[in-house]
Amino acid sequence: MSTRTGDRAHAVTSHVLLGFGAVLVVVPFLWVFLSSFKTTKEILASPFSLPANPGIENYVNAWTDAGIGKYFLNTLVVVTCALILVMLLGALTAYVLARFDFPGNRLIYNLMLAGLTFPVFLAIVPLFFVLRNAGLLNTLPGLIVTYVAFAFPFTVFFLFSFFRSLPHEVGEAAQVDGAGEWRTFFQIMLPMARPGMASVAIFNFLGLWNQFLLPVALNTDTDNYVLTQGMAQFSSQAGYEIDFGALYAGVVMTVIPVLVVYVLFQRRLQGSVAQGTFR
Amino acid sequence: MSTSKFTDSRLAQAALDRRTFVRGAVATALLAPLGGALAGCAVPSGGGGGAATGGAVSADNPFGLASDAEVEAVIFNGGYGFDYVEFAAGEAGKLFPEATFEVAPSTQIAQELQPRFVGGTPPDLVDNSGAGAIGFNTIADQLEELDDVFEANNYEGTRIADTLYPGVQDTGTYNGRFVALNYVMTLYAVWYSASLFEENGWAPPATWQEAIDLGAEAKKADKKLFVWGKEAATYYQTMALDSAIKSGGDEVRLALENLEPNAWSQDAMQETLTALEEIVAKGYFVPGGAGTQFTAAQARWSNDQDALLYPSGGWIENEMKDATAEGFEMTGFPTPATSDSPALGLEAVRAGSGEPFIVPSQAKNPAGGKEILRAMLSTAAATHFSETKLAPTIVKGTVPADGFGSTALAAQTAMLDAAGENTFNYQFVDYYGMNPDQLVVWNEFLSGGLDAKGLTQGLQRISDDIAADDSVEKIEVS
Amino acid sequence: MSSPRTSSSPATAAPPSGASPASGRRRRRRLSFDRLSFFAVALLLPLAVYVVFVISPFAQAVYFAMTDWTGFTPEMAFVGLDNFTRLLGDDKFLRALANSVLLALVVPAVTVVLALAVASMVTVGGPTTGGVRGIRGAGFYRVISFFPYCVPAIVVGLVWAQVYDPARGLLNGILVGLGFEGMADFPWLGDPRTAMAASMFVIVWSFVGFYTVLFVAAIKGVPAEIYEAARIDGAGRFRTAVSITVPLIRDNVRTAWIYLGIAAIDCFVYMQAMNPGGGPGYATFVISQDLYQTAFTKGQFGYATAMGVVLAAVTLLFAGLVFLVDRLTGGAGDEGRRA
Repeated sequence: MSTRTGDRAHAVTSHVLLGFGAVLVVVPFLWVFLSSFKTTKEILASPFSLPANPGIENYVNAWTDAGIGKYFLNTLVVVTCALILVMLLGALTAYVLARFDFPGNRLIYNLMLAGLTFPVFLAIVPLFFVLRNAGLLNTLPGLIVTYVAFAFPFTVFFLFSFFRSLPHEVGEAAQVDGAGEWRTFFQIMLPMARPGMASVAIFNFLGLWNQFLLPVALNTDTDNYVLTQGMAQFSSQAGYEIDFGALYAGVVMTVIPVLVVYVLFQRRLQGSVAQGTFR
Repeated sequence: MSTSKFTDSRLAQAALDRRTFVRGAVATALLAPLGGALAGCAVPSGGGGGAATGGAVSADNPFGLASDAEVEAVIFNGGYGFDYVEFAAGEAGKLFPEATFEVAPSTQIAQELQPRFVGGTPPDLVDNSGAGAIGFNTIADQLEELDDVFEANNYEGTRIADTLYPGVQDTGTYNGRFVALNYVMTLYAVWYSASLFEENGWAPPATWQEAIDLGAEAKKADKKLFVWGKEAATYYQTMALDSAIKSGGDEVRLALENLEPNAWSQDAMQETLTALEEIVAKGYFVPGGAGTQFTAAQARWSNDQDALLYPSGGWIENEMKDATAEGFEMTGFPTPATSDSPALGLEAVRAGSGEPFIVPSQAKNPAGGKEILRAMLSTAAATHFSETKLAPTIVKGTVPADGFGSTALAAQTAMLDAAGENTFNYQFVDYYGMNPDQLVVWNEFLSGGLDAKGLTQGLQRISDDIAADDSVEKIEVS
Repeated sequence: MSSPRTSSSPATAAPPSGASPASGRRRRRRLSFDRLSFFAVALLLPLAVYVVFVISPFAQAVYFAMTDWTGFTPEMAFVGLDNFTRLLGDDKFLRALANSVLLALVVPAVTVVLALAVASMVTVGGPTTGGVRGIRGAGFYRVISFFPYCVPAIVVGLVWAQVYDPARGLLNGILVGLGFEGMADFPWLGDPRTAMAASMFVIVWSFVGFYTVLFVAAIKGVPAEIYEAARIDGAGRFRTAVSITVPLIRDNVRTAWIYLGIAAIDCFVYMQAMNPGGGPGYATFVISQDLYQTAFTKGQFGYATAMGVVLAAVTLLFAGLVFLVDRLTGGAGDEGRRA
């Protein structure tokens, strides 16, 4: 068999396999999208039937009943603030842990590792009191601080290896130039770690965007709900009222913005994500 | 008796434990050196929450609600929604124009409110219902007694106690304290489409033998007798319990409520389970229920009419209103019995009040919680509830004979009237939080993976485990 | 267990060997305001937040695990290790533990293998002539595969629960359409034989794309000459993947394995969305669900917290095992801590 025919056979096989995978991914999305235009009775009747009167009624219902718009805004505020803070603090701590030697360094590092493996469930009730005593319970700032704290160990871990791998001559050169710690960090170290920062930011963005357990217990004021809470409440509500059409519409509205963000930024993601590893 | 002794010793224990706990809190603070300030905040502040300054008690203000009070209610947002409480709060707002009444929905009562109970800042009124409700054995001691609500006049000027169905107080009494007001009158029955039955000349079965015969008829019409969904497999347990109690009498109920050994092996119980086993074995259940969401399963009965019957509480019509076939005429009949001369009579039904409303003692404004209850129990609010939710409340005489045009509501009223004194109720399943474990065995049984004997063993084991668990406070039922 | 190591992987370019502890010490200088303020903000502030909001709640939780707290009252009694001994005889918990361990073994393995396969195809699986590249349309597949990761877990669970619905779900609809009449009404999540596999499939489905992207990026960091050399030596695509790709991106694989394990051992949201009751005969019941029921439905918070402590221990053990296996199979040399 010549290389060429072997190649072709291989290409066909690859495309068949990957195509099958793509179908597995896309079909549920399309099915949900289609169903979001059907009435509940149509959904109950057959999984494949086309909507008789495709309209945006389900979307209107989901938008008003599930409060998707408001929850979306809350989520955006919380996730953006938390992301900026955790990236900044995480980078600083990772840099200090990676580039300076001081007593307790190792201990702090291990404390981070431990924090990664704890189930969030365990912390929720004590956390409730911490927040309440700080006057932050049921507030968006409270949620932001909590998000920052819980995304922190992961961020430090990921960036630690990054700062570790930067040649130390860089820092020394800066010091010879008389740059202080702040300047060294912001003007030299941080820019060099940019690829790592980008990938951790995307990791964190998705993780925080999808966070569910923390807000459920710590953010019980419906006005402050984030999207995942809204969806969970809406789905159990839709379960009682059997409004499957609106449920699907809610799913579509939750997912689309994230997909759009991903498609826009995916080039950046794939170029940088590999740099961080557990070490 | 043994129960009350147990309770006393637990109280004494709890008093001692406070000290142990303080030590624990100190230890906790040591574990978190940077959180020195946490030592104080880590200790869930116990006791004394309800320090709100009250208004003067009068006939118009029986609980002494301050005129500018802020009242907060958290309502389970399930089959009945929560707008009916908003309606009642609106009524109360007319009487207390300067007070604010906030009504918030929740679908996960326990998870959302647990920290607030521990922290001593629970809301003033809670509808403790749904799959995520707080087990009553854990909070009964922290709730206000509600006797004064019954003694107060409603907004139309009648003493509330005189307007209610009997037995309401019993259902909400734990360890001798009446702490939960169950607002909705729920009747448990088996539901069917009157029009479909008439078309085919079928009659609702009064005994299990008749039910099995009906299953054969259904098969000829290419239909099934029953359908179930995974989260609601225990609706069939409710049906079996109702049938066994009705057939065997009150001793059957007491043995089960008091977690007696072999309670599930009583004759009436076994006859019922054997009949169900036969129905499962003959393939009269729509298959696949263990993998079907319960409302989707219910729609196969109400919308597709693949199954003839569905056992449920009276909320079913409201729950399925968007997924019910045209001209369905939902009607109910009392749970079948093991013979045609059951101990409590063929008309006997399980009727009890549900949707327990509680007023936590530590709430800021317990008077406000009670005021909303008073508003809910007034004729206007109770009628509004029945009319919009198509379900009766514990307030008598608010449902007209035509059931506001609902066949199911009319059927409930008719069944209640026919049963007269022959109604019964039981609470051990909810009280001990048994449902999650029982769901698993019932799903297996209805799928055909367990026979009646295996089901009995499974259910008895759940009961025995709780009976043997010293950390669970028991309630003696007589 | 977690001793940091330098990587020999090209994806994470190793620092020159001169980076040694000495470099850190050499930099030690007098304390200035610049230095003090930097350390305060860079280390003390975040650490304080972390300790207050993460470590201290967990420390308190460990104490609760040794009490009989119901979770709804301020009172609790210290009971030592009673809760833990009780766990040993709790069949339901042991079943959940076994399920969680099974998930930890299967989910990372399947996900990593699939992600590696896809990543290889779209990066170096292309024609054997010309430069080393992926198959045509690689970008499309890569982007598509990531989609599920953008969907919140709660939504993933909800959607798949509908897909698996026996009567009106997509899956049985397709199967019946293909002529498998026997599959009508088959309860994928309700049959003890399929419930766990079906649930695992969903978890893998939602993670594969993310790790594909991670591996793609790692493979792109490998110099193309290495693959060209392999091709000249006559190595097939499968052999290239196993003996070249995997060793070269070993660190990434290990990281992926650990994160997947942590997610699989927990997986509360997925399981709760698909089978809140724990599945047929507890086939998909996991520790986090047991914890949830025990704490909130049964009001036994102390006991539930003990379950959480075991959950944390299992997770730590898992991470430790992965590191150990990695080292035993000759992972990147452990040179101890630098700096």
